[in-house]
Amino acid sequence: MIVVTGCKRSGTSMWMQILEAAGFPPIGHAFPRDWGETSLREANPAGFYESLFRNGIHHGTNPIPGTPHYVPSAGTERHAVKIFAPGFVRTHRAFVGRVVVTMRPWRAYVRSRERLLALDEAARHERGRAERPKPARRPIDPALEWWMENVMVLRDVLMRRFEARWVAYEALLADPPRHLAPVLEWLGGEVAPALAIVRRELRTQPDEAIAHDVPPGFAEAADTWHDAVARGEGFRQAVVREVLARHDALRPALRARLERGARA
Amino acid sequence: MILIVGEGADNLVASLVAAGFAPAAERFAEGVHYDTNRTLEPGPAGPYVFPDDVRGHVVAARAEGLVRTDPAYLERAILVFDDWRRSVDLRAWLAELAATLEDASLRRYPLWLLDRADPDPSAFSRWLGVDVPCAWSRAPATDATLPGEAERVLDEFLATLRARAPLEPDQMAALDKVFAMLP
Repeated sequence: MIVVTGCKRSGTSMWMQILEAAGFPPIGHAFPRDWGETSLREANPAGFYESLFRNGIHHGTNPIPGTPHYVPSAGTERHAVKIFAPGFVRTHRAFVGRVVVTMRPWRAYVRSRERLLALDEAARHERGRAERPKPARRPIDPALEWWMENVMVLRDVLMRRFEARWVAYEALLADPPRHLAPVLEWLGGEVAPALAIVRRELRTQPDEAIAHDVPPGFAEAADTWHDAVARGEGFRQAVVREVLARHDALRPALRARLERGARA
Repeated sequence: MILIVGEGADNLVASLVAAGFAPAAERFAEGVHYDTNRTLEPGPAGPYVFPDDVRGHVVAARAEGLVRTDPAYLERAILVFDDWRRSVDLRAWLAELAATLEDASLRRYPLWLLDRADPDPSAFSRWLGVDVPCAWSRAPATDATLPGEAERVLDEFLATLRARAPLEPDQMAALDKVFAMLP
């Protein structure tokens, strides 16, 4: 399969639409059947294209739990599937053909995640579940989540030696022909119908300054990494080496914050 | 990789290694997936292996490990079985056989049903492409007894396995009932 991966709210759904327009059948629907007209649609009017496989394609998801339905790897080579980073690293390699990784600037990701949480809360009200207690588990700090999930994908692609392209969401919206055509040609898809999908108005969260507490060195490391991805250098050896060195340096601070978050 | 499940799998692995097959790492007894072939943080699971690294390697696996195995690594599977009266744990015997048969029918990988009571390994050797000496031992028969209906169901099940015939739905339902009554 052609795997679209990255953090949530990073352009994975748009890539699914692009790939469908380019001639790759998607796995998953634009909206789950039970979403109705909930406000969650506002987060992505064109749909999310999610399936159970967003959590990975492995023994826990395929066969689909509780059913005898198994999706084989043979015959699905040209299908596009969206898998979020934690699921991607768990995905059986038999299902991974080429990989498109999409990244947003970390600040935009933080704002988008917070917006999505608010929309999700509104959707819970719409569905009459407002009385239900909130889940006990606090969501992870989105800035740390951005960093760790991107590192997770980077390491996995390198270790399992997948053929992959890393694309920056904003760069793609700013100059679709420049960033889209090479990826689709590499995948063997049709470029023209896919270009029509990339509409600037789909971007719901601009990359502007935010007040979000991050460890020292984090913002510079994350900005530098995103800039390299936007230049099409996400897997360049020097970039990879620098990201992994910065990850080692940031690791104690990240771990401390995660532990603090878990205790809160 | 060739995963071998069932009572006596260790014995068969020893025979295959003697016949020239390379043994796979013991961690793959739990299957080949993200927990055993590490794709997250570096950990005790050992280095990542590619399918070509372990092509033709053999390992005695638990049925649960086989079910979890990434198809990219699963060349063949062998299910070793014997008469239920020779089983040391009848519940585990039935669960392991059922899980393996169900998985192979869903995922369609090559599976050989190796009957330890069969003294002629020539068909198995042809399937594997290597002469395998018939060196696997059998556990002694126990004096286990079950209610008559359960014995009949299990004997029919054995006959079906030996004939390599498909299990019928009513046979599966009867096996479910037997499984539910086993201690």
